[in-house]
Amino acid sequence: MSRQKRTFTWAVSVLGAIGLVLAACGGGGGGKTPGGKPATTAGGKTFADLDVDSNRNGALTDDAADDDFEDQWNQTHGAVFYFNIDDDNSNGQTDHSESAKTAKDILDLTPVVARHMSGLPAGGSAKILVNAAAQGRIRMYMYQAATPTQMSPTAGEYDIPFAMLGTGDVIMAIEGNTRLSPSWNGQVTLTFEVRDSGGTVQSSDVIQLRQAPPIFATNLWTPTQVQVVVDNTGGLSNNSALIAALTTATTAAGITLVQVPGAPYNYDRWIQDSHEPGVHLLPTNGAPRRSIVFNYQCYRNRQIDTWVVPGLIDPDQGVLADFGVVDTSLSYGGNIEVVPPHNSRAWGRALIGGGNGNLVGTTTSATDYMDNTNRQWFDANPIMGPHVQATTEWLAVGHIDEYTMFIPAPNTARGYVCLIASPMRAWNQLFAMDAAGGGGNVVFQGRTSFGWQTTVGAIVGNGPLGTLQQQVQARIDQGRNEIKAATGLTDADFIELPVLFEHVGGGYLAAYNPGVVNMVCLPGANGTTYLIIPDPEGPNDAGGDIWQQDILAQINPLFTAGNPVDVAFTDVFYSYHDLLGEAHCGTNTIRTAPDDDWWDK
Amino acid sequence: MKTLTLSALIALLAPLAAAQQIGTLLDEAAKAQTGDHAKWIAIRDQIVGMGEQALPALRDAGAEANWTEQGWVRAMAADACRLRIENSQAAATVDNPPGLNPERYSMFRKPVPMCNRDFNHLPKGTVPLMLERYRWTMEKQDFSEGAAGQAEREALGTALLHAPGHHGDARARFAMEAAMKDSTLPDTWRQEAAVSLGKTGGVGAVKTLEATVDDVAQPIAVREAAAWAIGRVSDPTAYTALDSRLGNKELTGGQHGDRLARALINGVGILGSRAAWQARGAMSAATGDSVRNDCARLLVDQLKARPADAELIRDQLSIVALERSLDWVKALAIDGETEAIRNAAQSCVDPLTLTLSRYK
Repeated sequence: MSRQKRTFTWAVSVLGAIGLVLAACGGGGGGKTPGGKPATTAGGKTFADLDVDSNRNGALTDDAADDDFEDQWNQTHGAVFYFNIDDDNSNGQTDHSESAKTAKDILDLTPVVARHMSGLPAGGSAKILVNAAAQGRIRMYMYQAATPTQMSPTAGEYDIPFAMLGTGDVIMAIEGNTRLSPSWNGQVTLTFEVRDSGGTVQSSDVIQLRQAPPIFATNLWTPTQVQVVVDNTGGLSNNSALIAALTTATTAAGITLVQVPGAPYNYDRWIQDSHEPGVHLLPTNGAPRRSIVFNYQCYRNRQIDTWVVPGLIDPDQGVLADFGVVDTSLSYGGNIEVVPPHNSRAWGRALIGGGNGNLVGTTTSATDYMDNTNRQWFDANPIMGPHVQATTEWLAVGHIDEYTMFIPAPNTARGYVCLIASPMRAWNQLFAMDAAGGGGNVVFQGRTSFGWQTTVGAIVGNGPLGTLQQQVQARIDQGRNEIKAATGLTDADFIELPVLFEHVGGGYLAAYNPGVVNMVCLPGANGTTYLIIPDPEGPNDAGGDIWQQDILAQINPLFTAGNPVDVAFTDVFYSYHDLLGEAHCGTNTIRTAPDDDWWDK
Repeated sequence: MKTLTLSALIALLAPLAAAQQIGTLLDEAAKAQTGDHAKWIAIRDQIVGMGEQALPALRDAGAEANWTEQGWVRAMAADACRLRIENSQAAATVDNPPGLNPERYSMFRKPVPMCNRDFNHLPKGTVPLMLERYRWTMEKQDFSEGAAGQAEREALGTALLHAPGHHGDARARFAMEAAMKDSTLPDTWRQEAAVSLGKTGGVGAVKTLEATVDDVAQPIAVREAAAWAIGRVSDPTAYTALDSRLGNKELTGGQHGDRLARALINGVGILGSRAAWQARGAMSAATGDSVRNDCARLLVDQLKARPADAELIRDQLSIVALERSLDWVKALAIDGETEAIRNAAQSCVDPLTLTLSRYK
């Protein structure tokens, strides 16, 4: 049996592609070979045939490559479509809310083709049925010439005009208009039915699709853009040191540094908290896969959030918004990290903070969680979910990035490590210095505003402060165990860095010295990883700052000559630390996903 | 010659007159009711207005020996005035803590009032200023309207009660005791005061804290805090107080018994804290070793008595961080009477091993 291969490739001109499909249909021929389906007659098929790019190679073909197993979703089959949240016509509206499609937006639609049929029953009908879970969560379009027109379903059924079906292929397209949720994992089943005049199904075909899940970036991905809010007021809170460090690193690594003017946003510098970037990956005809950036906007309601929308909605970049209603800082972006790939989790897994423990040093409950809407959304995500949660409810801000940070470690078998704050590491180092006669050494040298400057002896002579460090260490160890239990990481995957903690209000805690794990991690395309680390401002011995020395001694061996690390200890003392955050909190990073498929894992 | 003699006499008598006047004013201050900032500020202004010549009398009046149960308010008034003359910058911080200023706290990563750092980062010697602020001028603060103002008041009150404990300033003992016993205060404030009493009161505070733990008329939250606070007293009497109460079935088996037992266990961990005993120096080392040994033993016993609280006990064992306690929990993980006990003990092994590795 001859088979005529007809291809629809949406990586090229859509109008041209549609023409290609139409032309191919006019040529007739082509049929489904396996499964005992009948052959095609010259005037069209004698059976219902609904096609989609089920083998995800970016080309829709009317042959076994796309026909076989098109009714299944598994590692090799099942089509992909996009939750159309970008703004290809740059009008400030997410595209799924607009039925009029521009040529560029048409690229974001996944084609679905009902093949030309012959011998349609007189007075009959043709329908596309949507499974119950997906109803209302997708939009379908039908092409009239080259223009897609939105189709209106009735009770989950779309009408396919017989007149069109009897004269050629009916070209349609699908987009998502709803995010994943506990009641919908993104799966769509489309059933194409041809019925006789009595409504009895004469022939049918089924295809499976899945909405591309949002994939959050890990710190191992190569950055393309770093965002920071500029405070050039000249006061204590000015962040020129961080901007200078970012400028140096991004210039060397070829990364774009976006400096958002602070004044219009009242210097709300916590751009990490306003949104969390990631990508939707879609099949294409050849590498690299199509990657559309999304920015998950957190429930926060502070000034810089108004830069995210509309600032981060544009062609091939969108915003996922309106999550939750619970006013807790645990819902901010700094509380979303990703454990890099582990076990069978090729894209890693979402890591957040929260829990139902006690205020540190007490038996008073301090339950706090990220808003459940967000957690449910993570859990509905087949790639990033279910989320991993580690205890942070005892922290004033409550973010996981206050005591953990994953960074590349090319000199290790796993390829990355988790840097984790250790108050007892910091404490024991100070204690040793004090015991060696260095009790008078200054900590936070020159930081006299707000009374920060102190001495080694004053710190380690404060018994309750020492107890607090032990209590925090126990809590961080609990968080580490929660991460280990969920991911299979071992103690060897964690590197402890010196960070003391202190009470800041209401029994809640924050880093006492600048929290060094809260760093900016930029693995450049040039092979060098740039780490912009808050200067811990520890006491000096003959070799300099003892905490800086300890950090370098632990981080440097993680890298190789071919993939070196470039560490910049950066002053964030008054610009961030004094305001309850650090360097990572003050930046956000858009990264390039690895050229890999999520759907075949 | 006659004039010169008179001048000399006046010069000689001036300090005495000032001291007498200051003494009278301090007597009046001691009578000023809590919250009576108008009366106190009027007195304070007169004393501070005398400048450096008032310092000798203020130093005498604020001497450590005068911080007694009866005399602490007068001594506090004297020290607060002295500090206002000697360290006006600290006084300004206490009067206007930056973390209470909406313009500043709106810049915080979490934009709520927080001022513990403002007080904790001041020198220990400035604690009398905080006690003064708490007793007399707290309500003079120009709080914001509505919920924001409530949050500011809560932040200020709890921070002022927290800081004396952070600094471990024994002068704060009776002020903290008074606040802990003040039933008009929110429980959270009384909890802060209880913990600070434990940190500042020394052995003398144990009986008061014991009585609070035992007093069924007190809110359970305050009783819990008193149990934690006993652990702040670096003395074997604190161990006895905690041990006897954990063994008191009437207390730990009655209403709120579980909560009290957990609070007492928390107190045992705090009492045995390795870092805290290190901080107390070589002179306390022998006592510390003995107390820590007792605390670790008691915690392992609690694993047998309360295996369901293994997580809490595990953390406390990590705080005591006694090397041989690892052998004890390992043995219990094998020999424990029930599976629950063996599992509870086993759950402590890895965390304690990790903890102890940090001291090698």
